Amino acid sequence: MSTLEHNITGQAYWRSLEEYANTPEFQDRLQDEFADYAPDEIQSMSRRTFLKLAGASMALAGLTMTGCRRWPKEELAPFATRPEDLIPGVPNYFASMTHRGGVATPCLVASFDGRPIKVESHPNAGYSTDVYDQALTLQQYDPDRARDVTTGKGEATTRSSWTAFESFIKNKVAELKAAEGGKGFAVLSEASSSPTFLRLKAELQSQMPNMTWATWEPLNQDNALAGAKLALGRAVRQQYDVSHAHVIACFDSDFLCDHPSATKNAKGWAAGRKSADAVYAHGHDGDDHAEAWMSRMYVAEPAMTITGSAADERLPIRPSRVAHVLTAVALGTGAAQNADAPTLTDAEQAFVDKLVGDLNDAHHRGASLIIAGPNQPAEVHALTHAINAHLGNVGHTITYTDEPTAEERTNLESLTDLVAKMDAGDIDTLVMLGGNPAFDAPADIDFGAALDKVAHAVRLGLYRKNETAAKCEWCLPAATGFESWGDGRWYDGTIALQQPLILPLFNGRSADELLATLVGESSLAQPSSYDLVRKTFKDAGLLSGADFASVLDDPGYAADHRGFEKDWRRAVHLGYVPGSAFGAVDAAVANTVMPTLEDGSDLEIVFHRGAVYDGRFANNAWLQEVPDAMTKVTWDNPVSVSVPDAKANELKYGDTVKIGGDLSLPVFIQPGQAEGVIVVQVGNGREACGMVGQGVGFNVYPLRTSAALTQGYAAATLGDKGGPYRLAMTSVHHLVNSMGGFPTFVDDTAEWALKKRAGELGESGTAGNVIKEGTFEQYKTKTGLGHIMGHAHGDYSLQLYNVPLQEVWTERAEELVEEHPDAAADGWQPRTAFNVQHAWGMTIDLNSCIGCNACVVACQAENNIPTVGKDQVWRSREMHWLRNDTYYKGDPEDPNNVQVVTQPIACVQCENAPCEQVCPVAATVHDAEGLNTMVYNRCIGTRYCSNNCPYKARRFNYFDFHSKSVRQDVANPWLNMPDTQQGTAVDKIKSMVFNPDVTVRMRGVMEKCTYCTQRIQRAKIARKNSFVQNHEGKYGHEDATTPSVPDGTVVTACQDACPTDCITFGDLNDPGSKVSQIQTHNKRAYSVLAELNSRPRTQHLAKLRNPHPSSVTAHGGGGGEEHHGNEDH
Amino acid sequence: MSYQATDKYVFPKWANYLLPLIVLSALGGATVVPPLVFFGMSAETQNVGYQPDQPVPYSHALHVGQLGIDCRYCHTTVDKAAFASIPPTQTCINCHAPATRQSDGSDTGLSGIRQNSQALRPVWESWETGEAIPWVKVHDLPDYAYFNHSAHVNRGVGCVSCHGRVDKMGGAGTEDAIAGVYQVHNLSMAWCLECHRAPENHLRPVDEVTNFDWNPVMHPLAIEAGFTDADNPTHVREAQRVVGSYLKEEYAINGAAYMQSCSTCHR
Repeated sequence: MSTLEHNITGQAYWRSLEEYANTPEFQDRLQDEFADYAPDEIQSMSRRTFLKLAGASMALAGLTMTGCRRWPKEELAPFATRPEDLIPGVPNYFASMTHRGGVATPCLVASFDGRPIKVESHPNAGYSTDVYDQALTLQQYDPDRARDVTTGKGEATTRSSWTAFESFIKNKVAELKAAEGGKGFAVLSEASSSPTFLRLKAELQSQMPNMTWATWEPLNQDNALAGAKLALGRAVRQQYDVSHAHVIACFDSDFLCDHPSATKNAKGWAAGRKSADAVYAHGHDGDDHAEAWMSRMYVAEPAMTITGSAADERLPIRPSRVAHVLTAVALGTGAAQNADAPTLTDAEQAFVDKLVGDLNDAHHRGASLIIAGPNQPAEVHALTHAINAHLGNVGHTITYTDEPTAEERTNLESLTDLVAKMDAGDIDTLVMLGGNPAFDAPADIDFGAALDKVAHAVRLGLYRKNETAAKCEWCLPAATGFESWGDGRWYDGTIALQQPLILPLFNGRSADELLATLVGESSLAQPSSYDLVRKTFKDAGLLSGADFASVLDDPGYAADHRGFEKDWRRAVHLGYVPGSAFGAVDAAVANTVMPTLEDGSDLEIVFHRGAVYDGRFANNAWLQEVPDAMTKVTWDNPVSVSVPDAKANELKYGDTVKIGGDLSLPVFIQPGQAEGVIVVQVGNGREACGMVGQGVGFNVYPLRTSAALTQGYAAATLGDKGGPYRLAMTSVHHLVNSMGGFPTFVDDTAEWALKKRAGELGESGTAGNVIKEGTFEQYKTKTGLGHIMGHAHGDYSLQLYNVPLQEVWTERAEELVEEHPDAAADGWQPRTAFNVQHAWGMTIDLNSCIGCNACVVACQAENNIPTVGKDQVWRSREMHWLRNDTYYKGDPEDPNNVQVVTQPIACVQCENAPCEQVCPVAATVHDAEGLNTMVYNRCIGTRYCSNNCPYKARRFNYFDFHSKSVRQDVANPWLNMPDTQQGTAVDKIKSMVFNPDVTVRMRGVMEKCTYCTQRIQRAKIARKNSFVQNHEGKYGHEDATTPSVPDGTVVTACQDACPTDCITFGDLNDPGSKVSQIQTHNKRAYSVLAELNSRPRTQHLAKLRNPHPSSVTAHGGGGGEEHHGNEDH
Repeated sequence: MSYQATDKYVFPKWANYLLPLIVLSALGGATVVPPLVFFGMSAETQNVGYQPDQPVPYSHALHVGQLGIDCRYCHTTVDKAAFASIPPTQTCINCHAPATRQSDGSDTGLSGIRQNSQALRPVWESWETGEAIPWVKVHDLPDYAYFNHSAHVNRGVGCVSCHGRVDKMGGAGTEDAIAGVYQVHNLSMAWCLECHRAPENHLRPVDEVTNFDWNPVMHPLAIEAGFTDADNPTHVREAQRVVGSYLKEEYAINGAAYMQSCSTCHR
């Protein structure tokens, strides 16, 4: 395999196998900022033709003087009656929720002049929004959404109306109700936790007792609930308190990312990592660390997941081996006695020994957590219950609560039953509330064929271009969560409210409204969701137990002032009903079920959630383009193959391989993945989809059988090879060139290369100063700390040029020291440049970053960042201002020995910025507060700045990506492409998602992160306004406090989205601000590429791992110094 | 090759006169074209005096100048938000209701000034249909400039500083005065920076921002300093400097380094 054989020195850290192997192609990419930039290739005409045309157009412009006119006349359209509290151009935030897979997530939605444009995390809810929630605004303004009620299939489709549909369905319902109590009537819905939905469902079922109700979610928790039933005798939901778990063991579970409560889990997990900093907290110095602890996470998993990459001890195993390993753990901890000890491999045995040792430690009683993933069979889940109960975790790190769907059949049973009835011709009318079972049903259930046997199929959905909708008689446009009232329950059971921010764009209706029509409660002619939700809350008394006092600072609040109307308003304001979470239920392990230990297959295929979830977000370009957390692949779903398997089967990048049936998938070789496992992601490969998702990737659902769902894997074979296939993968883009030392001057390069070859470079774990990583044990001692943190900051006495206006900054710095003498004595130093009025800074904690990508999409939504499409990503032209680099470490050929660090990196706002020094037109310059600003209308697009940026944080608009469709061919970019400056080029619907506070950039300009300067400005202006307005003694100084923005007022988009709060942003002039505290006192803070002395304002905090003591001796350091790659070459 | 054969490639004799002609035209062009382009494309020429027709012949001279209505009666968000906001139709109706009595005889509580005016027809139409009155934007900044009214009005930059004597625009109370507000300053970046570099030359107390007649010589500090003659340009200039410097300190207005940062206006 050529990619592995070129390795000269072996890198301590590498982002791709190409980099590890140090291939010539990789070296080219490293040296070349604009990879594959061959103008002749993309130019559609010769230089001569281009010049001719350019000359002609200049002459024409001169003749007509078209350039010399006042810009277009604009009209102002004020309201006839302006709603109260609405100020044009000022965003309002509404508390609401998102709803996916039967679980609601709280959020705030920013609305600009009546347009919802950004989803934010709810500040006091304990859950954050994830990558899918962040992308919802793009879906809201998707021009491909269904716009009309239509009837008829295929060619015969005609536009219809809600009234026509209503009269049809009402007649049908009456007829079927009269016939056999609704026997011929069926509803198939997505999972829902909505009290209103469930009320209407119960009502419908009572009206038609013989109807069929089925629920289908392709990504479900069936196995977990079945496992709970097995072990505890009832289906319960497990609420984890990860923040108190000292030992966490995950078995094929990505509970930090792919779990209904993932964001809360991640928050808790991060708390157990940040607790390590107590070592150096408040005067503690080094060895005094009684308070400090750090959780230890064990992960046994087939794929390389986000949770696995964050693990301290990781065991890559085939999914069928999980039961074996878990059984050994159960025996080791004493949770099970009467079972045969499974035969384990050496690696498995070592993992079990370490884990069992930790679990049996008396200190960890009630402070550990065993988690099995949704793919694992029910027996495995049952056994985790037994182990958790045995270790005393129930009631401490795990709370059992009600499961709303406990009494129901599993998703699989419910769908199987429905399809059997449809096949038998028993169903006359089927109403589908969302979902796409014709695409995502298990392979052995031919939903599409069964649907053809249904006389009248009705589907309510966001899209009409959809595999299921194509077979339906009636297609109804659905209203999104931004367009209708609704309710739901968070994972912990708290009742949440969804309030609309905009009228249905395409006259859609919510599922609640459709159900209410079926039961005769309302009509579809008008939206009625408000009344429906209020009726639920009123009738069921959902607000009577609300504990508003705990969250509202409302002294007037008293029981006798309450009433439905007041409580309702409070709940709508908050977005949820405080105190309505599920209560803990008692459930004891009734019987310890031991999983059957099977041998499994030689090659097992595992199905993972895709970038587009189960396929519902296939038309969402933000999600299609966000690089996968581990593979960094965009716009595709390749098959991940482990390195040993790839070697054995002679697979390499660019190949495709047949993995079953006639399905060939492109190959991605995943370091750290278990041998004998191949991983595929569901969701892509949509045949009928909108403009964006059509034909992207491959449909792997045909391999996902019912058996695979309950068993956790399917047997697979690697068949014929094919190719070549191009994967648009960003792991080889934007390479930071500081792997193990950096040549200071050009002349030294040769010497540097020689030294590098001889292995003389590369101080402790350096990878230059890009990634710093160590173990908790090292961190606890000063020597160890020095080892991790060598060269954390540059030598500030060196600089290329004098900062302009130095006297202004010096004066301000001196003032600040005088103002805060205590802080200055305690080690705080104000920035000595760009510090008027504030000095903005950021820290990113690698120790709590999990790489979930929520920040990347949040940034995209906030800053009007375009998507570019697969072809352009392949050319290294993705536009994400914030990227998540995944650094691997270790020998890729040994999956047991691969570790991962993820590093979010955007523009780090260097004070001594290399980009500014090369810009010929001063389009990128510093502002007074330390932002390296980008002046779009000055930029002429030389791209010198990007070339000179060592962090590779700058992005260039090669085309007018906003007006270009992501699927558009760019063969004739000069002639065919419209541009946004013409005003009409961007689809009117699409342009509604733009944030009006951020310039929409044209082609030919550079752009990059600006610390959300629009949010900073908003906060500063508001603070300054109130400062002057509150100036009581009109000409005196009575109220002369500082006009500085208080800490915590400015929250950047990435910071807001981060579930683990690993991003901190604030004013470095304020010694009390969180970011100042971290940059001054946290010993893990370092500047990336400090050797360049660019003085970044963003500092990263070193990654810590807490491996089992025995692994440290075995691997020689566990972090700091090792160079795994060296040993083999 | 004969002489005749190459003859057609040789310039005729009269071509010799072309050279001075070309030189003269080039010189002439060089004199005429640059000023034409420079002055023709300047912000001054392009923008100043722009006075589009408005759908309703609203007269600021009447409402502000004669009746003395404060700017903020209509432009309610000017001290709260980036946009001063064109008033909703409702604001007009407060005084110019099409009818003061409803069909059932009850009083609307509105006053119906000029109930017979043809000019108010678009206002009533908007009130009845809920459609916006399509006012034409006069002061139009490029989209990449993020001007914020509240940031200026709350720091003592008067309306008159940028918009001129709006209280004198529009015919005073005549039915045929269609001409509305016009642009007084060119609103170019250079013009903005003039004030951002030396704000003391334009600041006034925050409670005087909407006063079109305010003069620095009225300020107690100016009186104290002895600059009291409103007709004496030196007095006015010096009074402004005294008052402006004081207010700059008072309102914690940042220095030139801050005020000229790109991110102050561009995002």
